[in-house]
Amino acid sequence: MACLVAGCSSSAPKKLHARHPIRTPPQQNDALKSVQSTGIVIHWQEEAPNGTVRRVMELHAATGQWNVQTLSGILRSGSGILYRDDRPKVRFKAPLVEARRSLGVVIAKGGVVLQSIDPAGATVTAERVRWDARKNLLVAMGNVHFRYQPPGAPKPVAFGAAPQMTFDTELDAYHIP
Amino acid sequence: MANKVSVAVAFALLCLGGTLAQTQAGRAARRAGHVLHKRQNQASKSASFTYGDVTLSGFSRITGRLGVVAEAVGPGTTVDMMDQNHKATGRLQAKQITVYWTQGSTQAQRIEAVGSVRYSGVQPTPGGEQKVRGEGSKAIFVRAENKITLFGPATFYAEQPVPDTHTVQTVSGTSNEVIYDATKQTLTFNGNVNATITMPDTLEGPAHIAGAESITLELAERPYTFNVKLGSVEFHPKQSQPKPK
Repeated sequence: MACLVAGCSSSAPKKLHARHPIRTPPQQNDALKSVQSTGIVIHWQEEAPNGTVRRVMELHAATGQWNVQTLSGILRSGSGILYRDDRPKVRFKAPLVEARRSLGVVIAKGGVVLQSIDPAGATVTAERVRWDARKNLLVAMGNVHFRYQPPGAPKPVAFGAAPQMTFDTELDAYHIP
Repeated sequence: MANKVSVAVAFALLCLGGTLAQTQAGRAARRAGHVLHKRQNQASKSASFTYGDVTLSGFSRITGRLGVVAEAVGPGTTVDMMDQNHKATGRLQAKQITVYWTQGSTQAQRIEAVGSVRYSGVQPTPGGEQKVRGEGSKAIFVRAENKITLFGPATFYAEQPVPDTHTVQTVSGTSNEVIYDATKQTLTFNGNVNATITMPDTLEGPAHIAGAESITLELAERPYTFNVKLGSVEFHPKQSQPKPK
């Protein structure tokens, strides 16, 4: 099983690459830049304003391709956790996950399931979900279904359906479309 | 010279062609934008959102925070309410509707509707159903009081069966403000009231009230009892039939 830790240094990723420039022939460089593997774990972290390192996303995938230089890639049979201010907020699962670190964007496709962790109880299913970590926005598109059943509640207290819904990372605030 | 003319004509044609192309491209873009906007509107109109006893639909846009507030806008915005205790249903339609919940409760505490407001409600009553409907420019529903206030100019209509005589009592009218209290079963018209009340079991014909300051109807009473403050009232009680010997 391959384990990749992306941006886990206390400094920003760009600085990390600046300190350790890769000077290898193209073939080796290509081999270094891109990793294709099965059983992938990505820990996406960033430097917080107070200088500490905080978690942004944790992603587990069965197979995929990950570019260690751009810290982006396409992963299959993915599942993971989205964080906000270093606290886990949403658990997600999708057949295809595309992450672009430079944009701070994760796109999950092919039947996505989101489950809120804090506060717990909200579930969103959609054909496609785009998470913008910087804007703290989750845009769910295509046959979106929302359900909220707080822990201990015998049945859902809230539910909705729309072609497109937008949520904050906590799945707490929403708007349609 | 001929060459110059042909070049000028060619240039003019080119410009004209460009302008036409631009116009066509502009039209196409506008059409595409219009189609997209229409699709988004249609898509939103097929959306619905339920929290607790309230369902929002028909909106073109909704913004909210779960269990706190939901603000829906659009000409067809509709809120359907369900009162499990009284087995009553209510529907509010307006251009803009805001629903407020108190944290931890699944019951909407307050609903505010603005712009071309329509309200309708059905509640079980002895002998059938009590039906109410009204229109106004603004409405406020307060759950704790189980009361809806329509601001006017407001129109209102209510009907309910009279089980003993199998007739239907009705009240309709206009005023500056109408308050329907579903718990106390009262209907209050305030300000410049004009109303018509029918009670086929007790009145020969409809009672007419004009220019009254206010009217309060006790809907739970059979027949209705109503208090009129200022204004004129015209009614003709039914003559009691002499008993056959």
